[in-house]
Amino acid sequence: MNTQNILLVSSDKMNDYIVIKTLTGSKPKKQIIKESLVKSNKLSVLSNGYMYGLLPIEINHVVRLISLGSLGRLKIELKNHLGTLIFLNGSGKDLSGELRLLTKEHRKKYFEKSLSIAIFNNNKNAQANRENVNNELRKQKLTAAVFDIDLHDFKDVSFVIQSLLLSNLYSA
Amino acid sequence: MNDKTAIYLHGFDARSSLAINNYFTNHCENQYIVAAIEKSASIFIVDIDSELGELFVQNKRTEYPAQPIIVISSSVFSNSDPLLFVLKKPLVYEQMDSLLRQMVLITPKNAPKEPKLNNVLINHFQSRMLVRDLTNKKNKSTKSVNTNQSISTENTKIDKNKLATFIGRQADIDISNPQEVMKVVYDPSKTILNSIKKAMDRSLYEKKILELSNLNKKFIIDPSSKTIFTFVNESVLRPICLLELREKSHVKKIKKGRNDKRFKSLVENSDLEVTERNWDEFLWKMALWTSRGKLPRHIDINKPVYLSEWPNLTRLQMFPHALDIAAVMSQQTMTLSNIVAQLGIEQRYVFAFFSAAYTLGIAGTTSRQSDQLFEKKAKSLEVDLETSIKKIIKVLDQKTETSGRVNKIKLKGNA
Repeated sequence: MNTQNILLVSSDKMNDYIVIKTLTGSKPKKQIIKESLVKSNKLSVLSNGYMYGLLPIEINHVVRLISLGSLGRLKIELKNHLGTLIFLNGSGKDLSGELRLLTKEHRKKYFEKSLSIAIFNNNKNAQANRENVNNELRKQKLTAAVFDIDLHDFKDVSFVIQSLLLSNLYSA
Repeated sequence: MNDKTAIYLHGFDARSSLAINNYFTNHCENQYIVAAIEKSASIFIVDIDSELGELFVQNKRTEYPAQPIIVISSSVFSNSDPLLFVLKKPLVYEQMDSLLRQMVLITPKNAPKEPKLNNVLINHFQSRMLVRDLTNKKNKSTKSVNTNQSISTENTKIDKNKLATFIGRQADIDISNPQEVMKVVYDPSKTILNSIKKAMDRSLYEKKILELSNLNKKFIIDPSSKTIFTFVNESVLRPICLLELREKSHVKKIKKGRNDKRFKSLVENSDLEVTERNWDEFLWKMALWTSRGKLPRHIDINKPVYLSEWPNLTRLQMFPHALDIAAVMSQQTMTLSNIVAQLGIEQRYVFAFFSAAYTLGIAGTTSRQSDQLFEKKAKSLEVDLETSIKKIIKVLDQKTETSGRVNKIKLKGNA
């Protein structure tokens, strides 16, 4: 099975949940990761997990959309990583600050591949919000498509993912 | 170190010299080095477009009669010097490489001490033929891709007539022919779009709502919300984009903003069809209607172009290949013809995209010498990865019923 991964990064996992549902048409699944931890001669088992959805491409080929959450506690070793999608809430007060926080957390590990940014709820000050995000990207020397999206709209989500894939395809 | 051929560069700024040095290191197996002084060099490379470039060539020919000189030029440069070779900008790696290999054979260090002029001439013509062959091959391959991906046969999602209002019907031209280039340019200075764009800039500067009138149409421009009010529908707006303005637009300030009586009478109490539109959405669409797949007249078609940021394509008028063009342009500066060749699409799509992005202020031409030196190429991905990415895009695109994006990606290897 050829499985390729796209990471979803957002300050609220609910956004990832909606996007996965919009793209795949079904509710996300959960992957539990169990870690053994020995502390004071006692063995304890920690359970952690992540949400994911599968987008079938053809027989034996799927794209797995993995919700990473905001703080990156998960340490997923990604193979076949196609890129990362960041979701920013346009009604938030400080979009560039939110982006700064997310990129700081994940940059080294997950942003080396292509990156796209989707701003949802971007109704008021939409243009100013996009300008702030683009300026922040320039400051961080990152290149990414920045699109306004409706999380429930397949076309919008599809365009953001396509921008991610095309950036990968035509990268210099 | 002694085996390397020293090449002296003239007329290049520091960034371009570094680019050439990187080219020697990464593409020529370190066979060449940039010489610090003329005397130690076996070959000269001269940017003839630089200041005193021609004079330098003349002087060096007198000083070093047997030294090969490679001249890099943005236009046709004719000469009768058998040891002077011309390469056109942007440089193609393969052409440069094959020419340098032949140069090495005829440099004073490697060649017989008294090179017979006939041998030199044969080498010269052979290398020129090689360059011509490479150029022809490239052109042929571009043409074949165009045929394979022609929109006229495969576009099913956007009505052809509607598409023509955005990207026109202009057939591809020979970009190296200045007369042909005139077919794909338009003069934006006397268009309603230009008039509105200027008023938008003024309203931003003065922080005042402006009322613009021309061609019996009114527009209210609000800089605080970056919106524009129109009083006619798109079937009226579209044709006026193509009209040449005979008189200047009348622009009035609406001093008290949205609380002004004038604003209220025009916008809130109007009997006309009032629509508040986002500036970018409005400008993008107006630019497509105005340009119809052509370029603003003042744009140098031979210069590389940049895209400083992606347009917000989920909220703008989409047309086929717009995502692909944005992806290519956002990755690196490239000439418009190189973008066309890389994507294997008709020129009008790229010209339309550039004109619209240029109107939004996010695209332009770059004048940095280093950006124009080498022809840019995309990184080649592993075939498997490239194939699967194209498959994913195809699946997403098929599911996007209303996207208007026509995906005709040719699969490499297993089409």
